[in-house]
Parts: sequence; C-alpha cells; structure tokens
Amino acid sequence: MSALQRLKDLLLDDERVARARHAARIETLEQRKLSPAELTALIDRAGKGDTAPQLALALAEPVADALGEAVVSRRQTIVDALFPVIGPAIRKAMAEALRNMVADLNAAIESSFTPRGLAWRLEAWRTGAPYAQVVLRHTLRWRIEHLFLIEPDSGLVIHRESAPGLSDLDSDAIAGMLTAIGDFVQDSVGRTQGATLGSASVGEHLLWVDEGPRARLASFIRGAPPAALREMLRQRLEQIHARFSDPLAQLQGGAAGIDAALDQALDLPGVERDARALDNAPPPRSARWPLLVLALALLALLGAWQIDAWRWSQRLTEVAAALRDWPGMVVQEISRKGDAVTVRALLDPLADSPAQAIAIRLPADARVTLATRGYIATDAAIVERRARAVLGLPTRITLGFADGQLSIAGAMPAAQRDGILARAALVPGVLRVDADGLLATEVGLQAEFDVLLAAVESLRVPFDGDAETPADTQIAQRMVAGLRVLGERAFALDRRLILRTWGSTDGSGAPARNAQLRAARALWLAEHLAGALGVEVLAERSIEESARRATLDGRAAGVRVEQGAARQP
Amino acid sequence: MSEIARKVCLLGDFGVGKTSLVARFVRNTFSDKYLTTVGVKVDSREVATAAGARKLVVWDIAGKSALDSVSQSYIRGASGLILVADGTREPTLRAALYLQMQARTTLGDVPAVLLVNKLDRIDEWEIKPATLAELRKTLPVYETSARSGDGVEKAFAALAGDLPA
Repeated sequence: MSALQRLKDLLLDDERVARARHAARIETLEQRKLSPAELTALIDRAGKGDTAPQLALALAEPVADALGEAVVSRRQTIVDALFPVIGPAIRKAMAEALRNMVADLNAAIESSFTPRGLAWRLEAWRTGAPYAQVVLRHTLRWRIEHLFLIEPDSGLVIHRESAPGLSDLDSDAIAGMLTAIGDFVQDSVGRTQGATLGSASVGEHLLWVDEGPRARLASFIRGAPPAALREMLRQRLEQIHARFSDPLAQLQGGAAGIDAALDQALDLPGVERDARALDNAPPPRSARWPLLVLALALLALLGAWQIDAWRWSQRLTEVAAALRDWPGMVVQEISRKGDAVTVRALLDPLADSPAQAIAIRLPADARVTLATRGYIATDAAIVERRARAVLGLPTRITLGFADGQLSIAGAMPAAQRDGILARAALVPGVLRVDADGLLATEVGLQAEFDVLLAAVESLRVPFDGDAETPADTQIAQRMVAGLRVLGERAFALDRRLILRTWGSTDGSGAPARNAQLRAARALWLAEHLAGALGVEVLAERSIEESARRATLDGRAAGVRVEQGAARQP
Repeated sequence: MSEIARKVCLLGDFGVGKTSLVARFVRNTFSDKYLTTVGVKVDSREVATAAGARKLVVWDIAGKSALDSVSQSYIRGASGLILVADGTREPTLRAALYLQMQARTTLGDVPAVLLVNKLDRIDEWEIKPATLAELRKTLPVYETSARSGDGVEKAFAALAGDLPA
C-alpha cells in the first residue's frame, strides 16, 4: 500500500464505509419485494400528510382503468357494491321530485278557486296553453343577472348592467365570444338573410339576444321569465336606437348624457318591474260591438236550440203517451240524437206494429229506429188474440179477458167444446177460463133448428087459377122471416143451408101448361127469397106428385131446405 | 364614463404561436377548444400606454393562411391587427402579410404590428434580419418569444399606443 493510499484511507475511510452501506441498501431495496402488509402500511402512510395528493394522482389512472375493467368483467360485483349507494340516491331524487310536484299541485289547487286562479284559467283557455303552464309562468321566480349592450360588428360592450352579488366576469370577452358564436351560428345554419342567434338556455340560465341595427342586447336571465320580459327588453332596445343613432361611436365621442341614458334604459330593477307590470296587465280592451253581436248570435242560437229541444220534447211525450197503452208493447226508452229517434221496447209478436203511430207524431224527416225484443204480453186484446189463434176459434165464438180470466161464449159441438176448454187454460197469460157462455150445439139448438126447418118447409105460397105470381105475399114474407131465423141457427150449428124452391099446380088444365106454371111459380119464389135474403136460391122446375093434391093445396109454391157441409170459420 | 375597449385581432398561419402569445398576454376566460370549434377565442386585457390605460379585447382567430367568410366576419369592427409569423418558417411571414392585405379590405388601414415569434429558437430562424429591417420601414416589427415572454408586452403595448383614442 502506497503512502497515498494510506492517506486516502485515513481521510476518506468514513465516506467509503458509508457509501458501501448505501450501495448495499439500495441494492437490497431494488431487489426487495414488499409484502402485502408492508404495501398496505406504505399506502396508508402515503395517504396522509403532504404526500396524499401525490398518491391520489398516482392512483387515479390505475384505479380508473381497474374500475373500467371491473365494470366489463365483474359487472354484478360492481352492481352489488353500488346497490347501497344507488338506492338512497334514487330515493332522494324521487323524494325531491315528488316534493316539487306536490308543491306545484298545492299551488295549482290553491289557485284554482280564487279570482286569480279563475283569471289564469281564462288565460289558459284564451291562449290555448295548459293551465299548469300558465300557473308556472305566473308563479315561478326569475331575475335578470346581466344585460350587455353590444356593438354588433366588433362585439365590443357599449354598456353593461349586472345584478348585485354576482361574481365578476370579463364582459368584453363574453360579449366578444357571444358575437363570435352568433356569427358562427349565423354562418353555419342561419342561411336566411337576417337570421341570428336569438336565444340559448343551459339549465335554469337563459340567454336572450335581441338584435338592433347599431346595438345588440344580450340578456342573461335566471329562472323562467314571462314573455312580457322579452317584450320589455325589445322596447328598451328600441328606445336606445330611437335616441342614439350610433351608441358606440357616440359613447367614444363622449356624447353628453349617453351614459346616464343607457343607465336609465337598462336599469335592471326598472326593466324587471316594468316587465312584471306588463305581464300582469289586462289584455287591451277592444271594441265591444263584435262581442255583443257574437253574444246575441249565441243567444239566438241558444234560443233556437231551446225551442227545437222543447218541440222535440213535446213530440216524444206524445209518442210516449201513444205507446204507453199500446197493446202488447212495453216502452223502455225513447231517445233522440238530432233527427234520429230510437224507441226501445218489448213487443209481443201478436201486437200491432207501432211504427205508423210513431211516425205520424214526428216530423216527416225524422228517422225512427224501432229496437224491440220479444215478450209475452198479458194485455186483454193480445191474450184474446193469442187465445183465438192458439185455440183456432171462429169469429162467431166471442172472447173476453180480464184479470187473468178468459171468457168464451158461443156454441159449438160438444166434442170441439171439450177440446177448447182443455187447451184454453194453457194459453200464455190465461189463469182461469170461464166457459159458461159456450154451449154445446147438440143440446137445444139442433131441436130448435129442426122445428124451424119443419115450419118453414110446411109453408105454402098460394096461387090463383093459372097465375104465375101470387095474389098475396104474406106467406112468402113469413117464409123469408123463418128462413132468416133458420139461417142464424144454422150458423150457430156451423152448417151450410141450400135452399131449393118448388112449384105445384092442381090437376086441371093441360099438363104442359101445368108444368110451365110449376116452373114459373118455383122461379118466382126463388127470386123473391133471393131478393129478400140476399142469398142464392135454387128453383126446381116441378114437383111430380103435385097433380094428386087438392085443388087449393095444389096451386102453391114452397121451399125445401138442404143442410150442406160445415161452414168454414 | 367607462373606458371603451378596443378590439384587436391576431392573424397568422397555423402553428406560429398566436394562442401561446395570447396566453402569455391575457387573462384566459375561455377554453382553447373554441379555436377548433368556433374558430376564435376572445380574451381581454388592460394595457398601460402613454395616453393612459387602454383595454384590449383580443380576438385570437384560428390559424389560417387566408381568411374565409367566417373569419372575415370575426375581424369586423377591429381597431388593430396583430400579425404573427414564425421566425423559423419563412413562409409564415408571407402568410401574415397576405392576411393583413385581406383584412384591409374589411377594416381599411388600421394600425398593425408584426410579431416574429419563437425568438428563443433564433438560431433556427429562416427569416433574415435584412428582411425584417426592410419590413420595419412600413410596419412595427417585434421579435417575441411566447415561451420566455420576451417582447410580448412591448408589442401589445405598442399596438395599444397606436390605436386611435
């Protein structure tokens, strides 16, 4: 070891040892792997004190990447982890929304029945806007935060008004950017000549831009202003133009009073006050006569409609009255729509159609619809009609119905009568049957018929000498009367009668003449009876045995009655 | 009476350092993204001149070698122009002068200054000192560095002083 080396060892030994120790420590640290516990402790220490921002910055990128990866690969884990956070957040948002809605509803309900609320309803009706929108327009708060009067070409601020309490802003830069964006929008989309950026909104902030030839008014508003504010802002801009031909140039030139005039024109409280007054002002009154004419026309229309309605009411009342006692019909409803009348009713199939009865009580152009449903009526006329149809009763049998009892009167053969009585009680609507008036023809009627028949056939109309017509027609008249009664009985017995007349002579005279007389006398009587009874009577030419009769009896004419088949009902 | 601001426009080719100069000079109110979206960004600053304080509203118009219709509308009403060229790229000087000519058709003969930027890289400059000396006969020329700030305040103050009262 040289002297120099020894000197070095003496002077630098401590540094050499320290350097060797540091080198060993660095090597150890570089090769060392931290255990999870050491890493956790290290992050915990780094997260406190001055190193916290550095740690956050260092972790921002990997944590964001890890979160993104986890959303893709372990979505359910992320959802589960966020569940306790998202639930309260959603509930809070919903509660807030519901609270706002309830507040709006309360305001709407509170205002519904007040004069102001009614006025808002009228406004909603007049403007066609929903009532809620009108309520919101009148109840929401708003205020102007900034007013910038801007020179349109350069975008320089001519005048500015701001509400107190707002943070300072670079009005020149904002006006410049607004102008630039307006130019950009106009050049990009506002192809139409003169089209400019008129408004923009972000959240509850609203920007209105009103253009003038020498100045542009930009209004920054918070809330939901009424349309009257826009109107008021335009009025103020017009006032400025009316007073100053070139506001920027005049301001730069130091025109007298321009500052004060602009202060006054764009005074924020004044603009807001005037806008609210304009918003609450009643609509301009117009001439009343058009309204009067309209009201009279409406009244006339209303009157005509009332008269027409009254007439229709009368007609329908008449129809209802006519149908109230209509046999076999129960009216359920009579309705009208225009000239279309609908009658809804229950109608028995045997009832007469009421269409004609309805039609004659309504105007000719009325359209009647009869909507009926079937039912079994118990009206007397309908039950009688039903009984006659069901039982097959001829018209000579009379029927009556009252209080559920069917009364039958007339005469018919006993066998037919029994059948009728058995079925009568089954007729719908019939509770009891009274058949005391219904006689069996076999009992007395036949006997009477026989007596009458014998009496009529025994009558002889006398003739004198060789007369072809009788001198006295009394016998002939009696014969007519007898035949008339006999016809009635035959009707009751349901029989048809055939009348044949005959003539006779005595034995004197030529046979040919006698034959002629017999035919003539039979013919006379046939014609007499036919004329008196209105029925056809057959005349026979002669009676063979007449020649053998006594003289007085021989000169006569009579009638013979034959009973034909049963009559049709 | 409140002081009326003056509008000045920055014109220059792409990449000459206009936005960096403005960032060095003004208080930034808006994001630079407006330059790529709308094509312009507006800021303001008050500058002391011999005539007193004067407020400049600086319109930083997106870099182009010629003015299109939108850019033409942006320069309307400007009281002065700041032309910017990149000392390391000689063509940007010609572009700045061409933009001035275009702007004059809209604005007329308004005051202007020429800023030859990137003074911090003067050893790479392509624009010859002789050229600048020639230009100085008709136009105030300032060598600036947006990076170091050299010459920036002086150039803006000079333009502010040239603007009409």
